[in-house]
Amino acid sequence: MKSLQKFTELFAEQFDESEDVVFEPTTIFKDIDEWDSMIALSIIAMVDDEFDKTINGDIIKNANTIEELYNKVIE
Amino acid sequence: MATFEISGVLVEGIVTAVPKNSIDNLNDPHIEREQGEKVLKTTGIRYRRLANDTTTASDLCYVAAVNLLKQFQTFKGDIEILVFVSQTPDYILPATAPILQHKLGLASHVAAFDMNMGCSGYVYGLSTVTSILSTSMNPNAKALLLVGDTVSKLCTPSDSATYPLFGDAGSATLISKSKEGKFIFDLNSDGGGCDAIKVKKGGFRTTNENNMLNSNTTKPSLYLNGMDVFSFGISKVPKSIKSFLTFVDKEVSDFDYFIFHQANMFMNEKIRKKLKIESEKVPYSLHNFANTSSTTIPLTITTQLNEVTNKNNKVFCCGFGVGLSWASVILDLNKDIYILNIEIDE
Repeated sequence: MKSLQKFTELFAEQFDESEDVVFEPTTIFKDIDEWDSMIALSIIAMVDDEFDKTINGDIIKNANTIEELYNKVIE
Repeated sequence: MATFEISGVLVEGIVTAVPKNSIDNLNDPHIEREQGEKVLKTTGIRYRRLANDTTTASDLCYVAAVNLLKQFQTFKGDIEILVFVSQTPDYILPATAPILQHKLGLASHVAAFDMNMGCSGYVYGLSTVTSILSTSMNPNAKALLLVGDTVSKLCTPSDSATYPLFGDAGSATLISKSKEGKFIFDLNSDGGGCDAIKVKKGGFRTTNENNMLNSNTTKPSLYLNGMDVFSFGISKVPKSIKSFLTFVDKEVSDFDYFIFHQANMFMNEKIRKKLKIESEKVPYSLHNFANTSSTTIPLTITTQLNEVTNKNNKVFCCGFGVGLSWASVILDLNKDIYILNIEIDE
């Protein structure tokens, strides 16, 4: 299973226009200006590719930080 | 999975009809330019064909059917089945299919009924008409499958989750009894996901004050949970197709085309890559026509398969979405098939 650090890197790769954002496990990702439903689809696809896990909209909606989402992905 | 094979039936022709009115998501006052660009980048959708206030899905199907039947005049009396697949019918009742039977001048011996299906509706519709047709006692029997929707009328311009994504279209497919021709179907459902794509108002589950029959309430509108539909699409659909292909002992290389429901190119590309299908075998119509619900599959055939009439083709179609419901069919599109897309100047 990939580490939280790797997940954070993969998470950050889904953003194109947030060079000034420092992505940390504690980052509240919905506060990032670029965050929207399209990025959310990229995250779902990335988790499917990299973790072989299908996450639904509720999992993303209920997570605040990157780490909280990671914990759901590896459950 | 519900898998079944139907032999001795063949697609004679497919005609689709779209309104001439084309809206550009990059030049629509209701959509911010940045939003339009994001929709284009992620879903592949740029243009939408919108029906005017008085044009219904059945009107689009009617024009498609008239143009299809023109090619098969001698067959008109042999049409025994007319099925109208739509989630935007003319009325709550009566069903729209008998209205179309009458309007098209078809005999009263036609069995005509509606099916309430969306994204998977073309494949479900094909399964129903071919099943009945194959058992007809008339060796010359034909079936007319009319599939269309005007989902744009359920989208409010202020809802950026639905408004830029849907267009209107209708289709008519003529199927005949024949010595050749075979369909293999795989039909699936999961009502556990019914909330993901939903129009609550207008039915009888909602309370009286929310019902569209009460004229004081707002019009029914479409709710779409894009994330849940995407999760469903990239996980369930490729698994289902893989199992079906294994079950019927076929491989991706056995097919000339894979026609997928057109909702989101990003989702379809994930599905295509998971199934290891070459990109040239997977055509898209959503850039020009957006998501036309039940009509995406025939519309992709008529507008994207330019060389389909050069040779006989083995085609795999899969519709997936509202229900949740997903359905695949393996069928032959022979080189003498009649295909056409027409624009309606309303």
